[in-house]
Amino acid sequence: MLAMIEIGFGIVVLAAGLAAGIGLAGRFVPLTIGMGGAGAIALLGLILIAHGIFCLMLRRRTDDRHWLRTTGLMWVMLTLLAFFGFAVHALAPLLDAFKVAGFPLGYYMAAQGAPIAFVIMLFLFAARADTIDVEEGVAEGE
Amino acid sequence: MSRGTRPESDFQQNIGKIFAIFLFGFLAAGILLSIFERLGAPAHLVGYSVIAITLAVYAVIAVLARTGSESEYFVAGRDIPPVYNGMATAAEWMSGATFIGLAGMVYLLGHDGLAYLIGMTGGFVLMAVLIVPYLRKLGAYTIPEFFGARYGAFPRLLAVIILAITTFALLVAQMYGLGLIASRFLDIPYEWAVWAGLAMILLSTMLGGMKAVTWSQAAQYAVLLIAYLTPIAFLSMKTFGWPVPQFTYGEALAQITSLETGLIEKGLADARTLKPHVTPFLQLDALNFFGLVFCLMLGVASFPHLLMRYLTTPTVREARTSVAWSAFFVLLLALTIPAYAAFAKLEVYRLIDGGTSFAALPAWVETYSKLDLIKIHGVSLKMLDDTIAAVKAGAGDVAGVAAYLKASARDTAEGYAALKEAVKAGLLEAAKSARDFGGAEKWETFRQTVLPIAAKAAGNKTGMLTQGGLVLEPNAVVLAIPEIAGLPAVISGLTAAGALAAALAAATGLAISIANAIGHDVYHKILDPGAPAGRRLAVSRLILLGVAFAAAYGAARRPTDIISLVTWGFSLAAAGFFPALVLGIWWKRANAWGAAAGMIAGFGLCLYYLVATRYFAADFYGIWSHLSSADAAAAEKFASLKSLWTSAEGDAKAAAWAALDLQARGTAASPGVANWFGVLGVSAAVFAVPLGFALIFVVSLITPRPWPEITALIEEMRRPKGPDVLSDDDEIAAR
Repeated sequence: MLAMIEIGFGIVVLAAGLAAGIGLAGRFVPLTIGMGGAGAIALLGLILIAHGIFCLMLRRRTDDRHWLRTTGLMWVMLTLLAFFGFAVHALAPLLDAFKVAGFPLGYYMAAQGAPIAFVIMLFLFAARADTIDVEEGVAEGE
Repeated sequence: MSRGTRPESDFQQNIGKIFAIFLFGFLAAGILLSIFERLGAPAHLVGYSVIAITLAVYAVIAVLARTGSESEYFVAGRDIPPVYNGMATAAEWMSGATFIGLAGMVYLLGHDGLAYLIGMTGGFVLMAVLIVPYLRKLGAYTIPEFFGARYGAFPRLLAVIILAITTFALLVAQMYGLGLIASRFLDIPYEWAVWAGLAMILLSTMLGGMKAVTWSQAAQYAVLLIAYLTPIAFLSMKTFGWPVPQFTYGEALAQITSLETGLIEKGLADARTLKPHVTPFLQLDALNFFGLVFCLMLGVASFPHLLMRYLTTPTVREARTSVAWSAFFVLLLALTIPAYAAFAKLEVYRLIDGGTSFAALPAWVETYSKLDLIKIHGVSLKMLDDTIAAVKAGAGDVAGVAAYLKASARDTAEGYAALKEAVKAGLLEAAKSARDFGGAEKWETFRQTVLPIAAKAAGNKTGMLTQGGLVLEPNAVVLAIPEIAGLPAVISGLTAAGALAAALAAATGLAISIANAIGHDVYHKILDPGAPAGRRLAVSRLILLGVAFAAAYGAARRPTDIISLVTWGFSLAAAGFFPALVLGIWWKRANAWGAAAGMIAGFGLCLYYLVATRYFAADFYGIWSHLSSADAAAAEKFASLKSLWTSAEGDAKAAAWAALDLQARGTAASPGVANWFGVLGVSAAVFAVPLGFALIFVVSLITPRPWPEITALIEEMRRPKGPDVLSDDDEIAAR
């Protein structure tokens, strides 16, 4: 049920993004978000739909705890990626008001913050995936 | 091949020591050479020595790593430690084009150029989370083998075709870059440089296959890292007294911002054309910024030549760690790339801010103007040189010069055609008077007579360098830094050695990925399944030879167009591979029909959008004008240009077509009227990837579910425990 609601909500969000993209939304809401903002909303809708469909597919195999936990980790990583790869940079014009060692913060996040975050995420992912494998008894070399 | 615990060979136990000795030796050689230079050794000899030393190291590695084993040839025996595999991947990531060009993109686009950085590093996260561990557990030799095992023969063939198209174009571009770098720094003809590069590539790949490629790439990473960091560290030391450019360029950015305002106040820059370096979404709008990030991420995550690197690790666990190490080694480079851009911009703005008259231009402007990498109001010293060549060949007027440049395929032909008539006449005049001059006098003539004419034609009344007038080509940013900073020749040689290492690392990886796909997936798995191991290896090597020769032949014909196509590779790889790879692992119901439909349609759509908006832009707009983001003014301009073109005759027709085509096609940073919703061609995967996902989903659901064997294979692929799904049977039998 939850997954169906999520898919429905995702379709609404996607439609809103597309409407904003072709300029329909401007007639109803006095807010201009530009093509980038519209694209981001549409992308969010797509992710929601994909996740909902995925949960539906997965339901048949709830007995595989290893795969369920791996999948959970996957969604955490993709959310973090969406945050550091996209969301932060959409806020760049706001972040640029702050300065760090001469860097405008928005610029810093794009030039150094995001790549550093990716590397830290990757090492954490490798460690976490190992833990899951060991705890569920499917690790190699045992 | 067994996995997990395994006795380590002598080589593996000592690899740390060997690598340390190599690094130490390389640094010692560099210091020794710079001492020789101080003592008076000729500069070019010192530069050559740096390059020769590195090339000798790669050759030694190639010979030592020769092999007759199929597993070592295809996947380096699956015993590369994660850290070194990470280095090799980073070397492959840092292609020649990236080494030389990426900092230039940031220089050119400012904040918006960072989209390349975010996308090309973020791809490793997608790769590690969604694809790599499962690909490794499958135990494939190549990436198409995944498609074969998971979906069947037809998707395998499709994968080989898509891989061949994307990878071959990239390979030609790498060899072109190799030729340009080698010819510029070693002063040999371009064609020779390409064939020499081919010899180096063949040596590194044919003897030892993936094993040799991996270890040379690890060595190449060390060389290119040192080469990339050293010049900029010196410049940072000189400018800010602290040799860590990654930190100090924040100060450089602050100075750039204040210089930008200063230049406009002094009338040396135009407020309408100067785009502040740190302000986001000025050159790429938000849509294309994020579109580019999306396509580059997915592209990096589905490039077969990067993915196949992780097939060489001993275990699934180490494959995951290895991706993290790859991203770490990439990070060391990625943090430095925007520093190059900032320092180059700072130096250029300082030069302009100082009120530099044309008579007082520094020597490095001459050096790079001579290579056509710096243009002032559209003209370069190279153009004067080429005009002199045209005069000597008998050209008497401006049209004759233009025809000569075109006929002899000079790089300057396009820039020359864009000049105003007065400037062309000035160049011709200067060429006639300077035809027998030496280098220094020629530069005098260029500064004293040609530049004032060009400045006047461009409306520059200050008599000095202006921000709009001085154009540094993106490729010059990295190459010029050692000279701008006034560093010794050994550093310029080091930069050249680094660029060569980057181009070689990428070229060997690309060459072997395409040759292995054809040799293993087409020859062994489809054409001749019963071939013995010896013959399979021989055929793979033969195919490698053919692929490399074909690429070198393509590169020797100077395909200038293909360089602009490098960025296409990301979108094409993402569109062709990403949906089928990801759903093949994460959705058991995906079947061969779905995969085939998704791959054909996704790749096809991507290719269509790229080619049509680039080469058939006017027709594309004719078909899709209702989807174009063009506003009324742009559409009107297009319509008037079109009617102009329709009515034009003779020579005017070609000129009218050029204007019409430009209006339809746009530039690298902003699309013309030929687009869907304002998306740049480079970001074509924005449309193609969702289409691929949707088609695999729908077509799989309306066709039969995969056989139980496939379902079992997927389950085994997802579980790290146990032997590789496709075990290397023949290897075991051979023992």
